[in-house]
Amino acid sequence: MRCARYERWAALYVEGDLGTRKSERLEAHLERCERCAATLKALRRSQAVLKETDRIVREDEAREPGPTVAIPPFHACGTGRVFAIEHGRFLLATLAGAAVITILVALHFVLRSGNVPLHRGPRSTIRSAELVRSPVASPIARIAAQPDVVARESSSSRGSVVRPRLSRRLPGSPPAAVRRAEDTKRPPTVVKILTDDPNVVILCIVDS
Amino acid sequence: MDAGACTMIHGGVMAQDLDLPSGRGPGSRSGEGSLTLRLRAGESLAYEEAVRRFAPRIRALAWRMLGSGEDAEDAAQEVFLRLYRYRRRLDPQRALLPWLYRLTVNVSRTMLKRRRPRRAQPEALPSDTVMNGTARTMEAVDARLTLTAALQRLNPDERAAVVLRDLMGHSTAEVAQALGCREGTIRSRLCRARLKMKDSITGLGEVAP
Ligand SMILES: [Zn+2]
Repeated sequence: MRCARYERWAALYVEGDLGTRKSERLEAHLERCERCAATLKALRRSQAVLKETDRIVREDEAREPGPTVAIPPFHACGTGRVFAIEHGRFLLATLAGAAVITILVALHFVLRSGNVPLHRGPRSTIRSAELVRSPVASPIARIAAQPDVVARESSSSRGSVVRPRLSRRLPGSPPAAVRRAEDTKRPPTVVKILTDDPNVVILCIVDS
Repeated sequence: MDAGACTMIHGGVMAQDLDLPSGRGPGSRSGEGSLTLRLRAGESLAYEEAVRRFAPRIRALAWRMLGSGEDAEDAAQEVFLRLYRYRRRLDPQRALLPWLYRLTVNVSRTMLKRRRPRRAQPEALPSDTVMNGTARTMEAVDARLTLTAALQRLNPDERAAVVLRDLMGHSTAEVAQALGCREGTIRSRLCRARLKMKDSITGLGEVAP
């Protein structure tokens, strides 16, 4: 039992890994135990063989070409792989970012143009279109003649026909008297489009 | 073992220089600190220098861990790939080589585990050295076979300890720090490994005196 412990100590002692006090105790034991002395001798021999073979292998390894040639993957494809990974990730991130931006921009324009059908009803097909010369006093014609007013009113009250307050002079627009005179001179063209749906009538007002 | 371990791995500092015998701080030894800084900065020349400087030792350790020239090349490649990948996490105050040693041992251990389904003896060295023509002389062939036979009996932990301590000549403290273990653990691994190798080498001697 005791020799098993001294064997383990001998395995450390052989390379100087055993503490001073334990080394002294082992040395004392070795003087009277042939078995442990033989173990230490065998350990010394095996360690020497190990180191000598390693030295020969090391010399053999040194005869191999230098690392740049000996490890071609580092330079031929090793580093290439590294860069492929780095650049691949970058490319992927860039593509993902570009895709997200494109989708956002497309959504923005589509929603702004109002082309997204929120609910699909039965479609109306155009049956006929007739050209109407609008009378001067027509509120539609007067609204159409002033794009600023149309924009303001249509944004505030969409869907219902509202007569704009024309008496109020808008910045940049001519006075009411002048405006009326212009209206008389050049009446806008109105095209009335009828569809097969009796509820849908399209009026196209073209300001001449 | 990969990313998380790397920050931890690089925390080990060798008590003595693993690279050149110089008494200065571990980071500044033989320009290792500046090399680490240059690696961190992504300098491609620094990467090449690290490969040139450390690859022979990494390959030597990997060959002794795996016993196959081809596998050692793969392991070394993986180690340097990780060096490149984790270059921004390197600590200039810490020595680079112990960290590379631990990476090599970890990579080798993973490769040995992968051999499990294919080979009867999971962590055994394949001993294909002579077959694939790695050795150049008959003496080298013989030496490689003897070394492989001796290391064959050890488990990866014992093998790493023996290779770093007995074959590469680092102190027990350095090995413990490189492998992230206590010195006592390394000592008991060394003890078991040396006794096992004594038996295998004595056995070889009996067959071919
Ligand atoms: Zn005894």
